[in-house]
Amino acid sequence: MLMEEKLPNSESKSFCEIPIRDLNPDELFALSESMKLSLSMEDMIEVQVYYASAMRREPTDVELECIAQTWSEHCKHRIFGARIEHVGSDGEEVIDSLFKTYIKSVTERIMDKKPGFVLGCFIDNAGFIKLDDNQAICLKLETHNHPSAIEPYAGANTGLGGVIRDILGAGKGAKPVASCDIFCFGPPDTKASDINADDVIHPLGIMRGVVRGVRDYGNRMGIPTICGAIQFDSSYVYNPLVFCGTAGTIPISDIDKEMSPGLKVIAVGGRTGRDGLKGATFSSMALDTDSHEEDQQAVQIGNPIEEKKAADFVIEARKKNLIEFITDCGAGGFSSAAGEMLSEVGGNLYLERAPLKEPGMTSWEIFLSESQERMVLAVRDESMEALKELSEIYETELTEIGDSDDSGILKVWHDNELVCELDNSRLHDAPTRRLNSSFSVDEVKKYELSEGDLAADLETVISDFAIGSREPIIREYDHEVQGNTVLKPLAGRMGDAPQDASVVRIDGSDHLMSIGLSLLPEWGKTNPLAMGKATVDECFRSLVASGANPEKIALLDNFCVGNPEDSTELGMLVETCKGIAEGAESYSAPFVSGKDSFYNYFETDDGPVSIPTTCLISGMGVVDSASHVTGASIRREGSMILILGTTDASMGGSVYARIKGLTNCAVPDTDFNKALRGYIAFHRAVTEGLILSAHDISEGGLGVAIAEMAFSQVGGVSVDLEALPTIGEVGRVERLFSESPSRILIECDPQDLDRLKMVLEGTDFSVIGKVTAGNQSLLITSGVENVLELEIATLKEKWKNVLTPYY
Amino acid sequence: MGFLTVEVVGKFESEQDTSKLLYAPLEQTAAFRKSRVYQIKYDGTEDQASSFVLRSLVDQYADEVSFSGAPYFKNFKFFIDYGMKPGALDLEREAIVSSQKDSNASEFKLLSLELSQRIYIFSDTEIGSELFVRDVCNPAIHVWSVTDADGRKVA
Repeated sequence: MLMEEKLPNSESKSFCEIPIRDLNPDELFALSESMKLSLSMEDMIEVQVYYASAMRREPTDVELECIAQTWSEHCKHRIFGARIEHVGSDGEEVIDSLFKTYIKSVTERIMDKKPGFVLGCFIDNAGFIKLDDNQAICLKLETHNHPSAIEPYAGANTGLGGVIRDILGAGKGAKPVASCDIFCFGPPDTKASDINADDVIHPLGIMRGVVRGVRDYGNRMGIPTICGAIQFDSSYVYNPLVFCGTAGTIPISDIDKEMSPGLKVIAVGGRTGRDGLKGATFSSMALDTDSHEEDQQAVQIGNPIEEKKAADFVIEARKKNLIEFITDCGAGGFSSAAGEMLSEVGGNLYLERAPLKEPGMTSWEIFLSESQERMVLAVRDESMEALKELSEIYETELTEIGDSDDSGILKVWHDNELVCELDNSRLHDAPTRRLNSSFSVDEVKKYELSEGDLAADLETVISDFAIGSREPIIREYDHEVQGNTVLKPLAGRMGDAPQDASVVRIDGSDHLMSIGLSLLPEWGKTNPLAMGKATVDECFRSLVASGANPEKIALLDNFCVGNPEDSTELGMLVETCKGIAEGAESYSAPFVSGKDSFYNYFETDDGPVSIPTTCLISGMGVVDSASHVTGASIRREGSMILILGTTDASMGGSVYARIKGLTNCAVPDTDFNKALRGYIAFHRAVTEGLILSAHDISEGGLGVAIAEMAFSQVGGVSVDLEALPTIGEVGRVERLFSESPSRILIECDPQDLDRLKMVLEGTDFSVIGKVTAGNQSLLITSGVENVLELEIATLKEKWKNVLTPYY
Repeated sequence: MGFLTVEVVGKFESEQDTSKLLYAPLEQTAAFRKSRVYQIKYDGTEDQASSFVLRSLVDQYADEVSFSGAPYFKNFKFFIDYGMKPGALDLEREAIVSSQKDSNASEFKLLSLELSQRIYIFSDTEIGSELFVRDVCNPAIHVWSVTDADGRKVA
């Protein structure tokens, strides 16, 4: 065996041997902890068996670090692949892999029903769906939570940089066309004295750093940031969440890629340094007060200009058919890129060829560095000249670092010494974890909701952090660059009213791409199953409301969870997965990509604080024609207001309930069959040009949604609560503030009303109001009785200034 | 070998309320100004060093520069200097050092470069530096010092 002939000598400084074959289990685990491998005792035993029986030698430090990265939660998604004994909404059950059961199998069934729609999922860097006969669109979302908690600017900055690289590494090089970002912060008005740990950055500092970090990457790369969301909750104080996403386009013919023997492996882009070391294992651990000092190296540093040059190179190289395979250096750096490329065919990587930021780096540092802005390509030898020319044009560094062969073994060399040899046919997958979980919904409380001053309540709700305008943050992001953004995050006559989803034109196609998102962590605190369902419904609804064809929508699931070893927290995850699976299958909207982030809990002086189970569902939809793009702001005086969908009295999860301190209220359930009938009819109305504007009703309920539509200040709006289609007894408070899912407010021209009613026949809808001329007030009535009347300008002022004191 | 301390201030910037720096508003009224401080060790003449600074570090239209080594502003309560930890990647420093390597000037050589951001705090009342250090400096990536109005390093 080659390694036995080349055991590292004691004078070699670049790598070393780590004796593990004679260690007992406790010693193995202690080694994992001291080397910060984040491998469990069971994992270490598996590694020991591999080296003792298959390899018959000790591992090198490079090999151990590589296995640790590969088997980390961040890279291997072991919680989602675990065998879980669960007690929940369906009684006792055993779930063999959350991913296979609730994500992959759902998608496979939908793909059988809709052949040719999903063009790639779960394998490549992003999931692809068909845009038209020639092009595909793709979307990828990732989290960068732990680095952003330590250094918000750099963490968020590189979070976006990383997901942009994912798109560049998707297929043979997709072109990034739009980005989105979703943040979960502690409330910016948190008192410093309420933070029970040292060196935790205040939520305001996190927010400023994260927003600016994302801004300074996306803007400088010329990629528009077109949509986003922010959730505020005190449980995010210690563990903020940062989701960054990027969408891309690619010719369908360039999606498939394959490794083969005899290719050159080249690195393009930035150099390799010590920044970002152990980022993947760091992301898989909980935070504590020592994290700031000890884990500073794990925060990567971004350089968007470098990535822009590399991106332009990659896209041009793909157009010239110079790329056989491509991936990015993300978590695990060269180890994961090379692992992806060379672990099946086999090949060699030569670390001394990697261009370095600083001298004296050891073998494992070079191999596992997560320095940013690096892409790894496999190319034909005859393409090298053309690639070198391109690298000079785009001023990006290109270095040949390896080659592929047919050995099936990944060999990593450093100055002629073999520092890593991994035979993936003999190194089995990471051991399957076995976990227990349980969750049951607490007994629901019934409240008699007294009306009080509903006008004041609406003003309070619209001034809540959950609802207030995100304009100060949105304006940081260039959402116009590339000149293709059709439906922007803020639009309407004044250019400052919120929209549901965003829509971008795709060069070379008559079709457009819509991107929508949803997250409802407040719902999940009470009923995660209902949260899962409603999150899928809200994302789907926002896409349909913006003009996407309900037959052409695909979803992504991104989960952030506190402690997965807590059976209740894991149980909430299981229930959420059930909900999203039911939603996706009901709407035939396949999952095409997803990610998860665990251990989002913090050891405070008063004990651990976990985040609420946070499920972000994002989606991309095909808008068949520019004429279908539908905004969410009222456009004309005299137009009619309709509501599609029913309202019930469930107040659980609502902003109103939280503000009023109403706990354990019933959380609304989602009737997918009814909702889908409504969305299909709505879309038909869109294609017939019957809809002037449409806004989905979500957080804050009807009162907030109709106010947001009215913020275009075209005219006054009057709405009769009695006209709402309802289920059961529903009081005025519930009619105004319930967040019942699957509802859309519609504006239509009175001349189109009869035709619209015909198209919507068979769904639950009604005419509830109109846009009035000659005044600028929001009038809510209940039959003949006025419930509230507020000046739209006054309401808008309150809504606009929620975040301005803080950003 | 020569040494040079340079402070660069934005011409079009003005005093701002410290609420922009802090997570929670102060009880006292206070304002701040920012500047950039470069400490340069070089081989060559002082004129060559000054020329390098004016060419590479200063925007002739938007910046003002001081070579005196003394604090640019007066009547401050204290100032904080903070910069990237040794070994941490400072992109601005990387860009400057790389550009200097590529320059054809063979007689002037940049031997070392330290960058820091400086924040001056102005107030009519007594005011401590702790809150500013807490909210501006990140122990994960920064080193910092605090200098009082008398020129003493107090932290």
